[in-house]
Amino acid sequence: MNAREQLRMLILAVLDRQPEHGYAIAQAINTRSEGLLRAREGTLYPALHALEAEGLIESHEHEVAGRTRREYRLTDKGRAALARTRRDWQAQVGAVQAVLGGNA
Amino acid sequence: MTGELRSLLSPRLQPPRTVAEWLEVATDGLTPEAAHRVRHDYLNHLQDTLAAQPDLTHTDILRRWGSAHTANRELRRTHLTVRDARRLPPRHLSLGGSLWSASAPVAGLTVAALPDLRRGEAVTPFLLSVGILTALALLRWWVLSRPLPPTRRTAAYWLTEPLGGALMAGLVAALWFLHTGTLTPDRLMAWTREPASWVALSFLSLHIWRLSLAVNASRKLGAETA
Repeated sequence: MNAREQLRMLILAVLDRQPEHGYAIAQAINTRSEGLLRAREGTLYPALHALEAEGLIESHEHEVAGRTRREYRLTDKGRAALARTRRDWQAQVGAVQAVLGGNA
Repeated sequence: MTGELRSLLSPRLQPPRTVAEWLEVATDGLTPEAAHRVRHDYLNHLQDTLAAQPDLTHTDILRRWGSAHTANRELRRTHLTVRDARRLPPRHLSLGGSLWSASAPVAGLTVAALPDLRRGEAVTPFLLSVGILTALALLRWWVLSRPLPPTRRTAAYWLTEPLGGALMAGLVAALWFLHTGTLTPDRLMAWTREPASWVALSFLSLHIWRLSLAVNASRKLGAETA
């Protein structure tokens, strides 16, 4: 799984909890990984727009404090894709762990 | 490469120094609608960032955002570019334009049939063929005037546009010659070994390549308008 696919998986995982806007998605990735992972804005929005074009997420604009905000939410198709990606990721982690040996 | 040399080669190769410059590079080549959407998302993100961390400078922000060129490359995969938009069929197709697209096959047929027509032979099949070609042009107009999904509409448009019509004219003419016996299968096979056939095949390959680009553009359009 390359960096782009990892970012897509992380975005879907964040949106699986609740709908969020772009800044909150970036913050959630950073906070949940305890600062180890950072979604660069230069790649975050292209990934969000690509996921939306594929129908995995959808977005709606709404007014918050006089500003038009775009909120992204997971679709059923996106939820199914996330489940598949989670299984693949767990399989990869398990495989690497088996090679490395020792306690996790 | 030093900054000075880079600026001599192209101002676009210089790293953006402001958010406006970053966005200009990131949205380069996108259609105005796509560029507006991207700018809106990034400017909202900027406001959120500055609200949470007011001490950040523009340099800090741009370092966090990463390469504008990478962003542009990624955005071009999803969003419609100006070049993509040129490959899409017109939103409205006139009846006159559609009938005009049938003129190339009709001309090809007329040239092929002229010797026979002068002798007063094969008038009925000729008129029947012209009628079929005109009916096909009307059918094209009718199909493309209906509300179709962008990908289907683009495929239908490109498969029936004048270049495709010209290729069809060649095919109709070849069938006519085969029918009248002017052209034998052996001579047709021999023709495929001549440079003229290579040109025709090159045109056909180009047409198919342009069709694939147009279908890709229409997929992006479909995703944007969904």
